[in-house]
Parts: sequence; C-alpha cells; structure tokens
Amino acid sequence: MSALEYLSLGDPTIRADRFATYRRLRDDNPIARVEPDGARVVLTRYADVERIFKDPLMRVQPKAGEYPADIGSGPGATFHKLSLPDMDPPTHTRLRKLVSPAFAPRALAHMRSWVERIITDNVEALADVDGEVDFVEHFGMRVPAEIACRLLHAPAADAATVLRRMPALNPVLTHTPLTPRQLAAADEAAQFYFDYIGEIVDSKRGKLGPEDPVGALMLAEEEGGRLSRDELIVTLVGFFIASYHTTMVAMTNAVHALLSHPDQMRLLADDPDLAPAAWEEVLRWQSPVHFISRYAGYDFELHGATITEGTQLMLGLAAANRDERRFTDPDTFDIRRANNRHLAFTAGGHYCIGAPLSRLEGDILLRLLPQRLPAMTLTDSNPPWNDELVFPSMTALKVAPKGM
Amino acid sequence: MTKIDYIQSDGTRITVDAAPGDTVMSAAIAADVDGIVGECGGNMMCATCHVYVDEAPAARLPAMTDDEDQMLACTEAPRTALSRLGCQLPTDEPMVVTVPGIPT
Ligand code: HEM
Ligand code: FES
Repeated sequence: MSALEYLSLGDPTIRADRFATYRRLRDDNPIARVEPDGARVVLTRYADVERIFKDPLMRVQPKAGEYPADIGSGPGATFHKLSLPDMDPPTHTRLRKLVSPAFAPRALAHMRSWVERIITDNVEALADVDGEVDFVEHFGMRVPAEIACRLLHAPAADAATVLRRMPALNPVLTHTPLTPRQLAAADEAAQFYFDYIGEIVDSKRGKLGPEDPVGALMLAEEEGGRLSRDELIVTLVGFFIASYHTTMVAMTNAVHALLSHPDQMRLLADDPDLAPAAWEEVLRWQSPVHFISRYAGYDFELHGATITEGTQLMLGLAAANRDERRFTDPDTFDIRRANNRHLAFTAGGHYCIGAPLSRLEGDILLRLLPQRLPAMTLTDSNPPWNDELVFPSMTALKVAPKGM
Repeated sequence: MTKIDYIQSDGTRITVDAAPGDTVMSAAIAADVDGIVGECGGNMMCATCHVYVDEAPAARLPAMTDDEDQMLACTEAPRTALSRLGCQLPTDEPMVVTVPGIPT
C-alpha cells in the first residue's frame, strides 16, 4: 500500500488477517490516513503509539474542553461528563487520583480471597463436565460478571439486569453520533444505573473499610466531600463496563493460546510461578482491545508527515504489541518472554485502572488451570471470531475439560 | 526552568531542563531518559518511575504518601532509603537522582 492511498477500515481484508495487515501498516504505512477525508490516522508502530499515550497534551476529547453536542443534558450527559475515559486533565487528574485507592496494593491483597473463590468454583464446575463445553459461555461470560458484581456489592443474580442496559448507555460514552432515539434510550439506561447503583451505595455507606474498593472510594468521598455521589456511581458503572468484556476476552484468549501451544502449557504446568508472565504474554500476543483513540493536541511531525491539531489518532495496541522493532519474534507466543512491556492496558494518564485486578485474576486462573484441568483440549481448533474492528473476540471456544 | 540531573547506572549524567509543572518522571519522559518508563503516567500504579534521590533540598521534598509507600514495595530494583517514585516529585528545585539499573 502506498502512503498516498487511504486506508478503508470497512475493508474486509483488514479483518480477514489482522496481524498480516498490521505488519503491512507498520512496514509500509506507519501513519495510515483513513477514508474518506484523511482526518483520522492509524498508528501501528510501538514507539509511535507509546509516545502518543505518554504525551499529556494528546487528549481524549475531540475538541479541547468541549462535550459532544448530541449527548443532551439528561442523565446520559452526566455519565459522559463524569466518565474517566472521556475526561482530560485537569478534571481527569483529580477524579483519577480519588479513584486510585480502589486497586492499590493493599486493597488488592484483601480482594485475593474472594476473587480466588469465584475463579476456583468456576474451574471446578468445568472439571465436572464430561465431554464438550463452550468456554466462552460457561466461564468467560460468567467469571467477569461474578467478579464485577462482587466488586460493586451487587447480587450475582443481578448481573444480567446490569449488563442488559450497557448497549443502550454505550453511545453516550463513545464518540459516535447519536440519534434522538438513541439518546432517549441512553438517558433511560443512565437513570437506571443512577437508581440501581445509587441504592447499593447508599445502603453500604459507613459500613465498608478502605480495604474494600467501594469503601476506599467512599472514604475518598468523605474526606472533605471530594468524590460526589454521582461521580462514585458513574465510576462504579465504569468499572463494570471496562472490566466485563475485556476480562472475558482475555480469559478466553488465554485458554485458547495455551491449549493451542501445548509446549507452553507444559512449561506452565511444571512451573506455576510462570502464571503472571504467561498472562502478560497472552495480553501482548492477543490483545483484547485493538484500538484506542486520542486527538492530536498540537501540530506535530511524524515520519516526515505533519499531523495537525485535532486529528483523530487511532492507536493500534494489538499492532504495536506485535512490532518487531520492539519485540523479538513478535508472532511467537512465549510465556517466558523477558521485558514484556506491552500496551494492552495502554500507558500514560488513562492507563487501565483495573490492570492490577486483571493481573490478580490472570495469576489465579493460570496457576489453577494446568493443575485442575491438565487434560483439557480444544475440540474446535478453528473457533469463530466476531467481525469487530476494535474488540475482536471469539464468539465460542469449544473445549473438552477432561480431554478427548 | 529547573535543572534535574539523572545519573544512569553506568555513570552517565543527563541534565534536563524541567518545564513548570513537570515531575521528575514527566521531565525524563519528555527528554527520553533511559530507564524511566513512567508506564502509568503518574497514577502510582506501575513503579516504573523509581529513582534514588541523591541530592535534593530534603526538607522541601513532599512527604511520602501511604500509596507511594505501597507502590515502592513493587519496584524492580531494590528499594533503599533514597527511593522515591519520580512521578510524585515536583521539579521546583534542582535535583540529582540516580536511575536504577533495571534488569532486562
Ligand atoms: C484484561 C483485562 C483488561 C484489559 C485488556 C483492559 C484494557 C483497558 C484499556 C485498553 C483501557 C483504555 C486506556 C486508555 O484510554 O488509554 C482501559 C481503561 C480502563 N479500564 Fe481496563 N482493561 C481490563 C480490565 C479492567 C478491569 C478489571 C477494570 C476494573 C474493574 C478496568 C477498568 C478500567 C477503567 C476504569 C478504565 C478507564 C481509565 C481512564 O480513562 O482513566 N479494566 N482498560
Ligand atoms: S509513573 Fe507509574 S508509578 Fe510513577
């Protein structure tokens, strides 16, 4: 592809073989302008993507300090304005600081026992299955929902209720244009969350210590009224949204990667202390989120081209994580890889706040899996994937937990 | 502009002019100082901005918070009495810091 050609994100060949496409872009077109007008560019090299993430002047708001006009002024707009992923400094810096105790090392140490119980119970349930089962349905979708519910002090039975409104809320949180009907549905969903999570928050106030993530947020709130009730609710719903799909995909990718690389599974079985490194390698090799956007905060030069202020930068996390300029043999799945500083959680000010929780989950799961399900095999070596550009994922993963 | 000196594990000294509002971490990122990664952008989640503060007006360094103390337990290089997170150190005063040699 020549540098003058526009990239079409709708082009099915991109998705047919993503990693080959990403390699082509890294090599031949590292600042690929997107149709129709080139006002968006796709960056795929590790050094470029990392640099943008760490530059505090690159922003998440398309226009500095302006909210999209079509989010209205109802509960949906409140959600947008108080959501961490949609905020820039200095408002982002303030909220992020207040939210940071939720997954600080001390809070995390207290979470270990209940996270372990949820994962263990669900691995045990798989161990009881004779024959074939869909890992996505029977584990991937369940465990993150149970963990998110426990995190928010919501009954696990409510997971479906909580999840059902997410698609309606999503359009106000992303930068896709909204129709009046979508806005009405988003406002309704936002109001549901204010009522539902608001009730939990009010009933738990004063009863949770700083070792509980919600307690930590409430105490941050109470020291001089620093985190408002609305901010607390939106943050907690944000935890649910940001953790559910990513964790489901990461766990599914982990099982798929290990079962299709028996040599790596054997290494892990022989040395369970490799579990944290194996989780990092899963996140690098099959990053759950393929693209994250920023907007150029100023004009700058890159590879001889000028990128003007306001340009949307689509940053390829999965592409950067396979960059041969940064990682040796990037297409090889190697759980003993050294210096594996991947960008699956991004970097810089918006760096995934749940990364420590995700790492705890990965550690527990990957320690347990080869011990409790040593004979597990894939029964469909070619699982189906959805067609999404940003969040590609397996829609099913058939396994035989006790082997064939 | 304040001068911040970074001393690498091989003895190389890099002097950086920190801009107003910079931290020891962000000034190092802007100047591409090796060994200071600053992965989490100053959110106290990664400890990849670990430095040893060799010379500083000690009385004017901000006190260590409980969160910084917890994160310093997670550094790759050994923690010493001089250890701080670069992202928690303002650059109002000149400072000399040593960048830990990170095992790769
Ligand atoms: C393997 C699992 C996960 C992956 C791959 C992942 C990935 C990401 C990515 C790519 C971002 C965007 C950062 C940016 O815009 O620069 C992000 C942000 C975020 N994540 Fe995660 N995440 C995971 C799990 C979690 C969990 C378990 C939680 C919470 C319980 C969580 C909470 C958040 C929040 C609140 C943000 C927004 C941070 C901000 O904008 O300041 N994530 N995550
Ligand atoms: S930059 Fe991550 S802790 Fe300082």
